[in-house]
Order: sequence, then structure tokens, then C-alpha cells
Amino acid sequence: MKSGMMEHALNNDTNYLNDGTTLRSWLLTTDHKRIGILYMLSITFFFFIGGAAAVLFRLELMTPRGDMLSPDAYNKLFSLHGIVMVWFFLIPAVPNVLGNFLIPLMIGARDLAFPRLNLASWYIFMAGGLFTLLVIIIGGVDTGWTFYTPYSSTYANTYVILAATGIFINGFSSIATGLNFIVTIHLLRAPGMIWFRLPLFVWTMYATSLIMVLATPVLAVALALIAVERIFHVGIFDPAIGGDPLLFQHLFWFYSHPAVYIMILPGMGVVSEIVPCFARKPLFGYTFVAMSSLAIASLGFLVWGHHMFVSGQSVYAGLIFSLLSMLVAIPSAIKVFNWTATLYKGTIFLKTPMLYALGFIGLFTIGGLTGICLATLAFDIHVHDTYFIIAHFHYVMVGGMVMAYLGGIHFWWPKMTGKMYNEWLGRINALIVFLGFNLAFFPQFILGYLGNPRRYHVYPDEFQVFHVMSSLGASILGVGYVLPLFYLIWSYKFGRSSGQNPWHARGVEWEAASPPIKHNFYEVPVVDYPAYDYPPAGPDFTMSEGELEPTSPEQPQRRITSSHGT
Amino acid sequence: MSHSTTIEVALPFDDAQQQRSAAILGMWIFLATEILFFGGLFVGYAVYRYEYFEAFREGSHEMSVVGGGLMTAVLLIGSLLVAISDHAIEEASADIDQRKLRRRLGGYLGATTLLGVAFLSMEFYEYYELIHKGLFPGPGFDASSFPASVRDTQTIQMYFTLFFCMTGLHALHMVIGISLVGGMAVLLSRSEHPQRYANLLTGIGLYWHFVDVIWIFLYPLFYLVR
Repeated sequence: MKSGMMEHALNNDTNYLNDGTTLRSWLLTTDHKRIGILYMLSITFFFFIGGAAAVLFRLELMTPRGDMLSPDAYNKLFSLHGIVMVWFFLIPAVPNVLGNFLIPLMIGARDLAFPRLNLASWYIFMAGGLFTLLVIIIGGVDTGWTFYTPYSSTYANTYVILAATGIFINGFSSIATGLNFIVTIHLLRAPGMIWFRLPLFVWTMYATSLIMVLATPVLAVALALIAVERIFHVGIFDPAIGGDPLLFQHLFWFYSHPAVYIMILPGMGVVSEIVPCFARKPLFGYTFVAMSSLAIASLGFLVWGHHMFVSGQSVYAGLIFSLLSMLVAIPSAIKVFNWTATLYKGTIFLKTPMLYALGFIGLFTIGGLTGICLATLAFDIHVHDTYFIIAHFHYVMVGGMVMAYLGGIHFWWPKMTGKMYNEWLGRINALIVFLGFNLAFFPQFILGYLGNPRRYHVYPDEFQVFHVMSSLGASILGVGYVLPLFYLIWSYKFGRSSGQNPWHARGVEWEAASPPIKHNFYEVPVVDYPAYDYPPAGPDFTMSEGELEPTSPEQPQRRITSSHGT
Repeated sequence: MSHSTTIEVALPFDDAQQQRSAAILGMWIFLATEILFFGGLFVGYAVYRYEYFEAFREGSHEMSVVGGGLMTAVLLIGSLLVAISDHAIEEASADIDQRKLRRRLGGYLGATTLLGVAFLSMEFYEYYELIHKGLFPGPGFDASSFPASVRDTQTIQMYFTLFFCMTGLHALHMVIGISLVGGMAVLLSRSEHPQRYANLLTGIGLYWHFVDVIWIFLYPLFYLVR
């Protein structure tokens, strides 16, 4: 078998992309890289569906009157936007696309521990997604993505059960992925790849997987109880017959607050990979950054009550939740400070992925700091359920996670396809996204502070200027999301070859060919070096179109040895 | 691991030991998700028991302690048999009489399957009786036999809602468990080398024990605490 692999090594033309080109070879693949690509295509599709809903209601909000959409249609659109973006884009975005693709490559494994389960997770994801599409086609759901009771259980006359079923099914896909990642990271690390040599992306994936595995079932049971209540007309959440509607909020946020960290931790992992590479320095404070991911994951389970400050829960509970929520700022700040310290005295190359990473750091900081504002009880009561909340979590999820996702796609695009995109288009697009995003969401902080509640399709006239700014920003953002679709696909078809490691990055994943062969490595890598061992030298590189060019031909090369010595 | 010669190692793994560790770790993580899944319902139980203590006391008087105890015993014996089979397949050396091993495993697991079916039959009989008495929650719920304090507020319904939800979800897990254990009984009693399926049996065994442990909590909460 080993000698077969060596023969394979001589044949440079075979890689995971052209090793079988039939539809069947893609739909029945168990290769983690191909499954990553399948996920990438699917979530891109869902992203544009969720985005289309946003386009429609941002258009409606250009004027203070309801002149384009009925109140019902508006409610259905923002519910659709939330449900699709949270469960069918943000949660699977980095874990299921980049995580699937990169974890085995980064730890030196041939595949994930359970390749067939991995494929099954994609089919489950698609089944959940199709259920949700079905809901859109037959008439939608108007409860918001939060499904608050008793509205969702007693009053709503839209397709609550179907929408909940779609999300319920999708949960199994999340769980399968998280389980697969945990087992893989525990057991399939290459020789020498000890825990504290793991790239921080893998650490964040580990923390994310823990949340996926432990939180998702609670959402599942909460949604199942809504379905039971609607089907059998029992009163689990119905106060008229002794039910407690707040119980739903507790169960829902016990999942959904940790899930917020599913939506940001992977982005932090991506940024932790990009920043050292383009600052040409080892990441500052590796251990602290690694542990801060676990701290965020654990604290995330203890803060759900901060969504319920005005729900009538006990004020003492509110106080404790407020304090615990503020504690999350500590590990988050550890990350931001360490990224900044990595930049300090680094040799910074402002390539496309780096622009996204820097955008992430700034926008996430705004999102995080306004999060501390919201964790403050008194302030939260003023801005609760206003646009301030919308702005806050879009700074984290769009300014943070989507920026990181795009940065990651641009950073690992040469790894995935072996091709290089147009660097200038990439950089301009990063700027478009950054500017459009800020124009779209910064005015919403002001709107919220002035008292414009969320989830209304009409508003007082004096708010119009902010809403128009926001809608303009959203359309610029839309351009920034459509453009990569074209230049990335173009580069895949016609782009020039990127070479194996265009960024001279130091992770194990770059030891594999670009694009990698079917089982990743010709020989199992042996890792006897720390993560991010970027040489401490100064400007060893110049920036050329697309790539980093070494100024001296002798860059330290990594040696690859076989673990078995055969 | 004397039987490593008979196991085919799947692609991502180096050896049979690593593959076994992965199978068992994966199963434990899955069971952790199951605990959280039931956990939501146990939280609901705790909340409503605290709020409607009297309704829960009245409700539990409708349950048969002896019947529930019998169901518990049936489940525990099944679990013991699963544990014995798992032990047998792991400890068996490579040169053991395969025919004998097949017969033993098929017998233990077949008996477990029957015990599981017996448990479900008793449970469904209990459901039948409760439904017959009009105690299935919903619009047709008949609270007339209960004291006014829990009848007029309808809080008595909550006990039965939780009872049917929690034992129903448990029964669903039993159905899956019975299919898995029954399938294993057939598979192992026909296999040339039953030891090839040691990892599968350990995983299914863990699941079966987990479903038992859930019942170990449900029995006191609904039957014993009055």
C-alpha cells in the first residue's frame, strides 16, 4: 500500500477534485474535502436566499409607511432571513466548509474519524434545508427565528411545525459534525502533533464542536415541545392551563446563546491563522488564545438569561446573568489583544485575506463592546428589542463571522482549488464589504438608541434618514457578496496556478499538495515544530500579484518524514 | 485485543485499537447529546413539580408502583444480558469455538430483545388504561376525579402531559434499542466471526444501558415520589 502511495506521488495530476468527476462520485463521496465543497455550494445557496429576504425588507424600510409589503409578509420575511441565516448559513459556514476541509489536513490525518457519518450529515443538512424551502414556498412562518411561546404555540397560524421540523432535522447534522470533529481531534492527530502544537483554528473547532454537541439537543427538545403542544393541544407553554411560556425562552436560549458562539468562535480561528501568516510572526500568546476558546465555550452555557432581562425573570437571576455575561469579555479581549500584539513589529502584508482579518478584528471589537453595554441591566432595559440589538449582533455575526468566512475562503482558496484569484479584485471587494457593512449597520445603533423597535415595518418619519442609509449600505454589501462569486468561479476555471503554498504559510495543511490528493498526504507528516513557527526575520518577502515572493531563494523548508519508515 | 486479526481497519485509522477507541468515544459523545435532549424535559419536570406540587402528588396516585417496578426489573435484567454478551465477545480468544460463541450471543441478545418487547407491552397497557380513564392530556382530558384545587386550575394535566412526553420519548428510544439489539442477535448468531462486530456490540450496548438509565430516573419521578 505504501509503495502504491509513492507511485501516486509521482503522478502530480491526480487530486481530490479530478479523482472521479461523475455526479455520483460527488454525491457518494466520503472524502472530507469533497464534503466540504458540497457544504460550500449548499450554504452559498442558502446565504443568497436569506440575503434575498433581507433585500426585500430593507427596500420596504426605505420609507416610514408600509407601502411594499403587508405586515404579515414583512414578519415572514424577517423570520425567514433569521432562520435561514442562522441555521443554514452561519452555524455551518466555517465548521462545515472550512472545518471539514481543513481539520484532517491541519492535524495530519487521512480523513475525519467517521467519513460516512460526515456524508450523512450533509444529506441531513440538505433535508432540513429543503423542509425550510418548502415552508417558504407554501407560505412561510412569522414567529421570528426565536419561536417565542405562547405566540408560536397558541396563536401563530403559519407553518410553525414545518419550520421547526426543518431546524430539528438540521440539528442532527450539527451534532454529527461536532461529534466527528471531537473524535477526530482526539484520536487522529499525526505523530508529534500534540495538543499544544495544534493550530488555533483546530482549537476553536474543538470548542465549537463541544457547543454543537451539548447545546443542539436542548433546542431540539424545545422545538419538539412546541410541535407536541400544537398537535395535541396540550398546555406545556400555555398559561391558560398552567403552562409557563418562559420555560420555552429558557430552553431556547440555553441552546441559542451558546449557538451565538458557534457563530463566532470558528471565525476567531480563521483570523488566528491569517494574522500570523501576513504579519510573518508567530501568534502572540498561543496558550492563552487556545484556552480562551474553551473559556468562551464554557461561559457561553451560563449566560442565556441575558436575553430575558425584561421577561419578568427574577432580578437576582438578572444580576448574576449580567455579571457572567460580562465575564465573556475577558476571553474575547484576550484574543483581540493577542492578534494586535501579533501585528506589533510584524512585517504586515495587506493581502486580501489579511484585509478581511483586520476588518474582523475591528468590527468584532465594536460588536463585543456593545455586547458589554447590553449585558448591563439598566442599559439593556432601554434598548431591549430595538435596532441596537440588531446592530450589535450583526456586528458580531456579519462584521465578524461573514468577514472571517470570506477571509478564510480567500486564504485557503489556493489550497482548495490550486488556483489564484485576482488579488486586486479581492482587495477591492474586501473594502466594499467593509464600507457597505458599516453603512448598513452603524446607523442601526443610533436608531436603536433613539428607540426604534425591531420587527416593525413602519416607523416614525424622523428615523427615515437612518433607514435609508442602512438600506444603501445593505445594497453595497450585496455587491460585495455577489462579486466574489464571479471572480472566484472565474479563477477556478481560468485562474493561474497558485503553487503549493503561495503564502509561505507554516501550517501542516500546506505540506499537502494544492489541491490535495484524495487521502491528503503522500506520507504521514511527523510534526516536531510548534504551530506558527514563522521565522523571526524581517522582510523576507515582497508582495507580488497574488503571492508572497521570497527575496532570498533559501526559505526554510519543512521536512516530511514517514512515520513508519517504510 | 487478541482478535485484531479478524477486524478490518477502516481508512482513517492506523490500527484496530484506535478504531475501537473512536467508536466508543463517538458513542459516548452521542449519549451526551441524548442526556441534554432528555435534560430539557427533566428541567420542565423540575419547574412544574415545583410550581404544582399538589397536582404531581395527585397524578402519581394513578400509577401502579408494582407495575412500574416490574417494568424496571425487566429492563435491568436485559441490561445485564447485554453486559454479559459484550464481555463474552471481548474476552473470547481467537481460537474459541465460534459456533458456541454464536449461540451464546444470539441467546443473550435474543432474550434481551424479548425483555424489551415485554417492557413496551406493559407500558402500552398502562397508556391504554390511562387513556381509557380519560387521562390523556388535551381537549378531551377528564379531570373530574381529582380534587378541586388541581382540577379547576387544570394543573393536573401538566403531570400527565409530562408523563406522556417523557415516557413516550423513552419508549421511542426503546423501539430503536429493540431493533438494534434484535438486529445484533440475528447478525451475531449467523456470523462466521462474531468478534468482527465487537465495536458495534459495545456501541449498541452503551445505547441500551443509557436508555435503561433514563428509565431509572423516570420510574421514581412518576411512580415512587408521591
